[in-house]
Amino acid sequence: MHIPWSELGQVLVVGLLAGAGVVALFAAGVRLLSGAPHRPVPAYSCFALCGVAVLYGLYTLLPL
Amino acid sequence: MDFIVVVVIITALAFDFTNGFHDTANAMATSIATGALRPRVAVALSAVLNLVGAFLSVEVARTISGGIVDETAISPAVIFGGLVGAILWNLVTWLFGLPSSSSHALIGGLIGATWIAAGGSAVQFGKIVEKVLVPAVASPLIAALVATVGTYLVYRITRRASERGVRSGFRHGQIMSASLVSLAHGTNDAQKTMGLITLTLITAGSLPSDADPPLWVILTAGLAIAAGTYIGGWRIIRTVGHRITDIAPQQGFAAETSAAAVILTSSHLGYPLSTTHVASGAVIGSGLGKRLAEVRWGVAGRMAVAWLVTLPAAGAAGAVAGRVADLGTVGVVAVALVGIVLAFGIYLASRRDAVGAHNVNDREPAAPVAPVAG
Repeated sequence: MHIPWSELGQVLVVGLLAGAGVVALFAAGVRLLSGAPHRPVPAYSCFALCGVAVLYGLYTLLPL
Repeated sequence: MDFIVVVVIITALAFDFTNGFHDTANAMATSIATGALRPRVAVALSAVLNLVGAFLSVEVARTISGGIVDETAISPAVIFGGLVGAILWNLVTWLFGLPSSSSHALIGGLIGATWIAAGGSAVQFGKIVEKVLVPAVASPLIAALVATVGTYLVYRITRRASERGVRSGFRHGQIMSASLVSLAHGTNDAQKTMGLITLTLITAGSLPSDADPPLWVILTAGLAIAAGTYIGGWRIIRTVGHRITDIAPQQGFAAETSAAAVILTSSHLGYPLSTTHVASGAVIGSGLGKRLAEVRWGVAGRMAVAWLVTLPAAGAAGAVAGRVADLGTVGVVAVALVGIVLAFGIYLASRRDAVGAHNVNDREPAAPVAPVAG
């Protein structure tokens, strides 16, 4: 029986970095937008980075 | 084209349809629960993205034939039996509102039918452990961990922000994250049916071996899963959106983003996962990340039992159906008739306590399932 530990480890690490990372970035954007000092430019930079991460995720799906 | 090949294709598309409505919840349950999307809009969006996803790639199309059973040892009638077993198990779990894995139902049905028709040697148990059982245990745990961390970070980072701004911000974010999960679902699950139809056409000699799915196969499989998604598995959406944990937009966003990240990472590494297990694990994680006591472990326990039972139950149904179908045309017709009668019976049973777009967000205490200890 072969358990693919290295693949599981990769899914865990990349999942944590990409999943929790995008969530944290988006949260930072929301906070900058609705916090006491209203800072739209850094907020939208956060959202844009999230968008880039999503597009990269889709790119990995395509058989290129 | 032989009679049996036509029957298998129709049955495969029927399975694809149940796959669609069984799995609508994976992508859309938390968005519907938090009000980010209205129920009808959510299922329509998910249907379109599933169809788009079906066209994105054909790489996964052979996942189902990737060495789980010995394709040279089985006939189209056996595949038909496996499909009938998978459809019936999907309908039963839908009736009880349980988000079980459609992929496991399909694989279980195929294994059961193959085992009885061609013997245990035609089933590759080593591959099943590596490609099915290990991911079945690991994927919900990984998704839950990612969602727990993500949810914790969300609440930590937005602690000082205004509650109204946060809710509205994450509702918008959820539209994106839910769309991503729908798209990923289309690329994975629609292709399982495509791979199966292609395999049947190859075994029947209508296509050369190693052929890619023909366009009409991609189109019909994509349309079948999209139609199923649009019908909406409201019973399962209610379980995932309300019964496991009460979900705020922050948690829904964290759960969906975590699920999408885990699914995409796994697909990229060629590592098969059940989208259902990932999505449900992520919802549990989003409850854990907010406050440990937020998860209703009774509901989570019932889901875990359904996950455990899916492979053997679909396998047993597939074994019986495959054995009878293997007797010849009379057997195939008999299995088809019994399958249709049972499916209609399950549909009638569901009408006694109908769940639809109108009442999917109602908050009543008990799910219509028998309680399980734990």
